[in-house]
Amino acid sequence: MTDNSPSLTDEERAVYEWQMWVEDFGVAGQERLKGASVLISRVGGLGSVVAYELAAAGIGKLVLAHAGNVKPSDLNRQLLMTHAGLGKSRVESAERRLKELNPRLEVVAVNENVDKENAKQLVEQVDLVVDCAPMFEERLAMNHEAVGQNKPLVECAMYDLEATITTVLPGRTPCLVCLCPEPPKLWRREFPVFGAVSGTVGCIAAMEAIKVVAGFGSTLGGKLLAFDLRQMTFSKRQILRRPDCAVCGHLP
Amino acid sequence: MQITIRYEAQTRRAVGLEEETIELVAPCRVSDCIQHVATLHPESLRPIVINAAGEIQPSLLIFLGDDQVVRDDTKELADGDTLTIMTPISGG
Ligand SMILES: [Zn+2]
Repeated sequence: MTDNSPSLTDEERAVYEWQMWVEDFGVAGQERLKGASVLISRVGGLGSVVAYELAAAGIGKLVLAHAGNVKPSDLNRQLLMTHAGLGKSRVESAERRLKELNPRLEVVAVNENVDKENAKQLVEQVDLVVDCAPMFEERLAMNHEAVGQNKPLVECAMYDLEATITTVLPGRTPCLVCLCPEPPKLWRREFPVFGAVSGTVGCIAAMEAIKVVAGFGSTLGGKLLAFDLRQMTFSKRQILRRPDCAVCGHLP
Repeated sequence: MQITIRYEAQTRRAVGLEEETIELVAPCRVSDCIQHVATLHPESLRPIVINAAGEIQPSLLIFLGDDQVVRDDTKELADGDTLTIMTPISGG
């Protein structure tokens, strides 16, 4: 995103060779990834896969925020957790697995979920945020802070075999509050889902983050990608900014 | 006129259908259509789409074709339109 990106070592040139063959990404794109930092709010079913793909792609730094220890019901989808890690810290397990893949990666593991108190200093540490959290209260806190600090925010969500994803570019596209002005009352933290669904959304979210950071392709800004893996239907829909949005309505 | 209603996320689970085609009398706005659909599924769908004040839930996502519309959009529906309703979903 900034162009005083660090240059690549010989090892990095070897590891990222295949993706640097992507013409509109190239060495410059790889250097931007190396110089970039991303906050992932919860490394569960979605966030584990986002983090793993970004680590594989050579992002410079990940800040991972997720409270609590690994439970049996995490293991159908939280791919950075392992059976041996049951009862142990989720973010520690995530950090260890990510560094096995990419020892050059800088990881800041925060054993907390995002809330109104910690959102500001978490967002300050990064260039972009990927929101993978289950509770609307924490998602709204994250949206508020990301928009306030003018940082791009990838919003990913799933339910059953369905999923949605959009990218918030503050002041240019709808934000989460434009889409969802108040927390839906009937949402519950636990809901039906397969790991193959969260993994699909996580990969798409990681690709969005890579494109925004490296500045190529077109993003889901102003669009909601909605898909249903039961019927294998995908649609890209236009979404609206609310002029009276409490979070982004004042932005030009 | 015939309008296809597509249910997504929690509305799909509530109704047990991916979509249904309903008959409506023109002129009919988005809000009239959703209020009508709520009466077709009073136990399962209505609590998700209509709030205590009898209004469409502010958090309900509504799409006419592939374009989002707000709950008080004044556009009239046309024969053959597809209206998608979905609840916001999240991660985990
Ligand atoms: Zn907004």
